[in-house]
Amino acid sequence: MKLEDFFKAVVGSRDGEFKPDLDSDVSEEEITELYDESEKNKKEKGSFPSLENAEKKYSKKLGGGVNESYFVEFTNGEKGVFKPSVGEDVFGKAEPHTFYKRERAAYLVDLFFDLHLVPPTVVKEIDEKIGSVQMFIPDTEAYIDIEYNENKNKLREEKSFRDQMKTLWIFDLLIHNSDRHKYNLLCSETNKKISVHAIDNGCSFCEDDFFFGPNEFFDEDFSEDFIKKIKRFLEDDASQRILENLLNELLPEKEVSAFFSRVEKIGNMISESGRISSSDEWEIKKF
Amino acid sequence: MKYVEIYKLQNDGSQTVLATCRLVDGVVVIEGDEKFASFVANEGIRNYSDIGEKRFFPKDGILFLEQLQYNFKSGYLNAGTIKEEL
Repeated sequence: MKLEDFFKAVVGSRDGEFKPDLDSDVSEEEITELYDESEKNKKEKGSFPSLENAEKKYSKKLGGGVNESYFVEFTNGEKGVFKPSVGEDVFGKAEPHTFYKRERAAYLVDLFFDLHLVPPTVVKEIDEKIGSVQMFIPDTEAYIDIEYNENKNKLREEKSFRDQMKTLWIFDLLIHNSDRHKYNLLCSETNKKISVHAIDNGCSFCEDDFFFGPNEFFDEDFSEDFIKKIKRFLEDDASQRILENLLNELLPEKEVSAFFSRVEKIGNMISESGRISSSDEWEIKKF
Repeated sequence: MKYVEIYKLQNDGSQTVLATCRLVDGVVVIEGDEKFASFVANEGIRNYSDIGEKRFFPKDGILFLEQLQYNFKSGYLNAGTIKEEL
């Protein structure tokens, strides 16, 4: 087997990444080794050491919310929002005490599609409670605050912002998010450019009805960059398999299977036509 | 009088009250942040219970008040439990 075939079949090719000698022959052992290395890299990609290995400096229980949440500061300077499993109430169609796993699963999907919407989210034990820790994003405003700000509202029409919102819409469709209201979407501004941050992703992947509060983007073209990301994932069997394994550690098998069905259905629509037709609304919002 | 406070997280981990939702004569009146008041009035909040419509609005009174903490639970914006004001 040639190295080229290996990369096409298993790793996929990405611009700017490792350029193998495509004419060289490799042994089965070398292929296994390369594959193991690829898997290791992906798993490392799923980790976020500065949160996972960080030691708690202090934590403060936050008031309100049906589920317990804490503001945590770590000795390395990182800050996060911690949501422990034991503090979760039972509501919606998700299995009890799985919201924290869904937070992590949503981050993994964001990571594997290379979307940069969800702040790094890990599963971690703090004070003998297991839960999700999501990196705290300072100096943010809710999406609704941008809508109501005359100056910033203009920025919402800029291509870079609309592209992020289109990406978020597809991300939420893929994870079947039932809770994307305008306070679960934060915005931060740098040099007059707004970045969006998708938070509170716990109500995802289960059979609750899909909900997306901001505008939807039927019949609008997606950016070439986004289409490329979708195609890359669809063609990357190794990444799909690794993500599937990681999600299976967090979610019921039925939900992982439904997720990959949505990836195939919605991904194919985008890669074939570069947009989502309004006539497909019912189809793409199904669990 | 029943009421629910909405807490906003600050950079230092403290929380401030963004808005207060009070049950007055069967409907919820919102004091504080106007954007929050407009948001819930125009878009409503999701009903996670099995009873009633899919979305509740301030006009739905106690049903709306009860669902606030299920809708605002991100840590960045949390709705408190129902308190009683004498």
